[in-house]
Amino acid sequence: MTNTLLFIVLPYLAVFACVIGSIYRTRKEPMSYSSLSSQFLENHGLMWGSLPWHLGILLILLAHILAFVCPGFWQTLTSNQVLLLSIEAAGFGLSILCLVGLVILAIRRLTSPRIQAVTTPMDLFVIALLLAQVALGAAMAVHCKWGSAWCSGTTTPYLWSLLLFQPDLSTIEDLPLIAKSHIVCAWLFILIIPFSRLIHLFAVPLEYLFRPPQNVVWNNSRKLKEECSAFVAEDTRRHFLKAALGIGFGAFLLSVGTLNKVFNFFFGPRLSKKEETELMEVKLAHLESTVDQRKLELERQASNYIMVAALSELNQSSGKYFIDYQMQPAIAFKGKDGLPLLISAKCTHLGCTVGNKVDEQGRILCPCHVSYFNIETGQPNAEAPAKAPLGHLSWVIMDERGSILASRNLEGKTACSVNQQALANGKVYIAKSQEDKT
Amino acid sequence: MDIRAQVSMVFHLDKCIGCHTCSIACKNVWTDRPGAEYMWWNNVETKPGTGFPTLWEDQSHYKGGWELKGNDSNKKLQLKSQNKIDSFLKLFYNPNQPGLEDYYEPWTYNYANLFEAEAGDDQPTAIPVSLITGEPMEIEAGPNWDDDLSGSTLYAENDINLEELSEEEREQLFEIERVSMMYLPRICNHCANPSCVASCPSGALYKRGEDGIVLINQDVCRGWRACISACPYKKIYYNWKTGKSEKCILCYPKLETGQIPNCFQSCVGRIRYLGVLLYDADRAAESMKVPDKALVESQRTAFCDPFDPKIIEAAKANGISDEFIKAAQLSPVYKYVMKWKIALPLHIEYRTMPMLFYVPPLLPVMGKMANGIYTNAMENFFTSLDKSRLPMKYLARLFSAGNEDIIEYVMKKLMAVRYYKRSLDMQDIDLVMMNKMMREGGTTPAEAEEIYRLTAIPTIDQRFVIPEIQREESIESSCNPEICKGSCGIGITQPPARGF
Amino acid sequence: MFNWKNSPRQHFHRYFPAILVTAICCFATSANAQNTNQLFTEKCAGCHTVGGGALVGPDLASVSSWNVSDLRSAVKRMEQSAGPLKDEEVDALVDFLKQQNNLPSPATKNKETSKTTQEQPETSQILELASSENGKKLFTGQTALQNGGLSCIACHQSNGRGGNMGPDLTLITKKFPGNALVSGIEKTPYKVMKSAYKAHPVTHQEALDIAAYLNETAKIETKHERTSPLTVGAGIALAVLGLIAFGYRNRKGSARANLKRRK
Repeated sequence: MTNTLLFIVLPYLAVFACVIGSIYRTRKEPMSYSSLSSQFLENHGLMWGSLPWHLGILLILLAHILAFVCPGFWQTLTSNQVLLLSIEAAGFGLSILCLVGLVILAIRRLTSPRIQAVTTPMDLFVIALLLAQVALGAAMAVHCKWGSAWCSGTTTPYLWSLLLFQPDLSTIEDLPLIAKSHIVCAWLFILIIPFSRLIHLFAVPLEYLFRPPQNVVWNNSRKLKEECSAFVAEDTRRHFLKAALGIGFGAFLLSVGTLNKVFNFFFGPRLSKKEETELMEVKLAHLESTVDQRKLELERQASNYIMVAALSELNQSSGKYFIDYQMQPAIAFKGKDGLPLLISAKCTHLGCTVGNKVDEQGRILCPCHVSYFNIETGQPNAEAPAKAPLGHLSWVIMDERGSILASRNLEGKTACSVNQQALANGKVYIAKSQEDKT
Repeated sequence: MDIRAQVSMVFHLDKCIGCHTCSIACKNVWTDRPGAEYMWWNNVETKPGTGFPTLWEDQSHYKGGWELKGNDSNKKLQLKSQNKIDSFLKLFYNPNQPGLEDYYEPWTYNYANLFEAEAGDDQPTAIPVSLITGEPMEIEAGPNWDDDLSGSTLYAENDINLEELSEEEREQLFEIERVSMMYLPRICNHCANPSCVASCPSGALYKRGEDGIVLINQDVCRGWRACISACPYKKIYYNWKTGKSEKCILCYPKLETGQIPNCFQSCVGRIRYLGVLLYDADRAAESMKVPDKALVESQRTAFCDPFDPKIIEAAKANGISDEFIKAAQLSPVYKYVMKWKIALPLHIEYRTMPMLFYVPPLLPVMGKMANGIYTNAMENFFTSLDKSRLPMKYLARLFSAGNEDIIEYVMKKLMAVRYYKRSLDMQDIDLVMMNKMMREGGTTPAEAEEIYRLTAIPTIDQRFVIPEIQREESIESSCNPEICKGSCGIGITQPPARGF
Repeated sequence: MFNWKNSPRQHFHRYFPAILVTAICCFATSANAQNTNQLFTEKCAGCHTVGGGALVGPDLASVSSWNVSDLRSAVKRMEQSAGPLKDEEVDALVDFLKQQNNLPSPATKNKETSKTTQEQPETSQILELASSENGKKLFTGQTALQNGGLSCIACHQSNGRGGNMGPDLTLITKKFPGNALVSGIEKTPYKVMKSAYKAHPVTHQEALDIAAYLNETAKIETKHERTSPLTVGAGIALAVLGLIAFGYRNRKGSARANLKRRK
């Protein structure tokens, strides 16, 4: 329950809030959308805080994103021992760098009166959360080291399962507490982006790299009359580009998954000749065995009666297994009245074959999940996982000549035409006609 | 040819009395609010002095403006500190950004204490309290801390423009008998090749096409602070409360309706002139790719003659209205800068092509007391240039990127005008002397008369020739405002609150 | 309050008799059941423990209360998974399982189980078919697992190298000898691994190779890593800080402060 809440509900909530909140804030509250730099008020501490923190966290974030978006590539990287060690060393180093920066930033924020003039409670919460998150990350590098390698089998599939709307917690639910806390903190981080200064994450001015140095805006329509249509077209194109970029990225993410499957289908691991032969042989053997079984089945179906045992062979304490017309196991006992007692051996719980030894209370045991069935009534014991009773089967007793000496139909009605002596030499059969009725 | 109009300015320094009225007029309207207390979109500095923020002209410290890179065949302008990749690192910490210590910590006084203090032996005082922290504070500096050469051993003597003066010249400059100073009122230059616009990572800064005013779109600004260090004049200020940068807007809401900007209107000495200059935008950056000493001349080649029919045609094709062309023809700025060539840009070696020009101050008349009678010290009535108290080298550093010839030309012309008027009005100047001065100053009686009229007795309509912007022609009428307003919207569309 | 002199070590003599008795009990039981133990580890331990918690199959600690015939048929039914069982083997396993409640505690029991089965001719026979060299490559990730599963080293150490989320596998063969280890690797019925390898199963050949490698590591002295990545990491952090200090060594303070200082 807690797991579901923290690892399924929280992520979706966080991402939803982040996307909607960020779009709303950047569109409707542009005045509040700023990096909120405090370098102007305090300069020295900022250098030692902000530079290490931002350098470290940017590289760490990029590595996290890479590991998530290109899991295959990342796994290839981390399979190389030297690279893996480098990644681990760099990751730990950068997290230490981040921690140093954050601690300096925190101290600065808590001690400088000027900075306190521009500090909100949310700022303090952000710093606390980031401190916790980076400390957890660094601790993971020590206590569950090589996370860059094991993430490909644990957190990456988890994140992809979330992305594909088939949440699967199985890969992460057994992770150590420290790793799970790291994940929860990450979702919290995403959750508070639109409600804190963290929104500046989206303000990274990448377009600066590509724009011309000067920026001239005309408010006058005379200049714009002809240019306006071009501007609108440009704007439409910009919107189109943005949409295309978004869709493209989504498609990219999806295709990575799909292509992975396709790639494996065509170029994935192949069976060797030997393995293929073995596999075919196993299949053949399986087919052959089913042929026999099928033959037997047909043969049985052809005969009107199937012999279970001679009445004299049956006893009260240990049943004799046989197969009925439906090819299901059943057990034959001798009842207290000296007549046969035929009971299905297929457990009504999950279909295991029930044991044939009768205990002191006249019960037989299904060993799979410990259900005791009373052979007289077929009823399971109260605590048993099986709830329905085992069914009894009908039977007939015939002598050598094939004349019916006694029979019991499905309703449990017994017809007995001869004495016990004659019956003792008879053989117990199950009849096709009776079976067909079921 | 890409002809654009620029609302440009001339400050006549001879007339500035350093009263700071302009600064107050600006402050009261635009920067009297939390986060902006320390900003002075308009300020008046005493020269020699270190200015506001301290030593703003020292670009080895602040790294503002452009620098010329590349060889002779392929010269290019490059921002001194905010190159594309470089500026990404500086998002996190900008080593060139001036801090509060370089301006001053804004303060008020605890006036309430005067009334609310407990009765005691001492007179209650109103102690200064910081406007940022609200705590009592020690005042260490203010917006014009070195006003009128106060603290000159700390400030004026460290004026970076004195660098080229010899030790002897420096000593002379600060001799008590000769000590001299001038005032330098400064607002945003609304440059034609602005380095602040080029440096803005978010693209929030822009130059308006019609009138060339440089603005910051507050909705787009993300507070990366690149413009603050990129502007060599330090005329962009960071609002510590909203986390966005702000600058002089040349009172565009007033300009657009034909009114005069606050600092211009309030000027006691009537030193300020406002008018339209037509310039070729294609030449704007090009003209800045010449050696320092040729920059003033080079900048003038980018300006266009508003009477030339070809220019008028090109301007109209570019969407410049008849009102603007007419204003350009009547422009006092055009006369000072292009016709008479006596107004010079401030520190053009920063290569931003500033559009605010200064008429340098002519040397003050030297007086002396002799036998209780005040007389002129100089035999020639007006000081001679070679005995000037503010050395030419110093003025050249300020106004012509070190080219003393240009300063000399301007000074001689100004001097000639004085001789001309003195000889006309008082007839106490020898005509031969007057004609010699006129020749040296390269001026004619007609021009001298014209300079005199516009300098000394202009009407308000002659000082400020403002074309009204035709609101009915603005983009809203022809373009979907929903699309356009986000990209060319004007400043703040929301209350200037800090983000959470 | 806690007194450092009162540490468990000081009281060792109090517990010693109890520990001794326990050990003797274990030894006695296990000596009898040595062969059966081997049988259990080979046939059942891939999926079952006795008192060690559920793996793929349920914990078998409670079956000792079943009656013998039920247990027999239950064991017999496992032929589906464990391959054909001879009647003697079934009997032995039934006996083994019936005896479990005689043992003092699951933990000691497991230890004993492993101790008694250290040397197994049968084991080495199987493993020699596999290549420990390939196993090493698979373990360390030089060769990728065929179905794209994580290489073992991501979470496990062997000879001092590897992750530490999972247990150190250097001496694992002493705990899970022979087939138990192979089926353990192949079926991955453990925490975390269970789900991580669900979609990327380890093939039988790979399991054999890796088991062979692990069998070998148990015999080698443990080597320690020369330089820990953590030390290198801390070095990197210091280096970057140094770089920042170097890059901004000429950083000028406030202009006015400089002026005052110069004076």
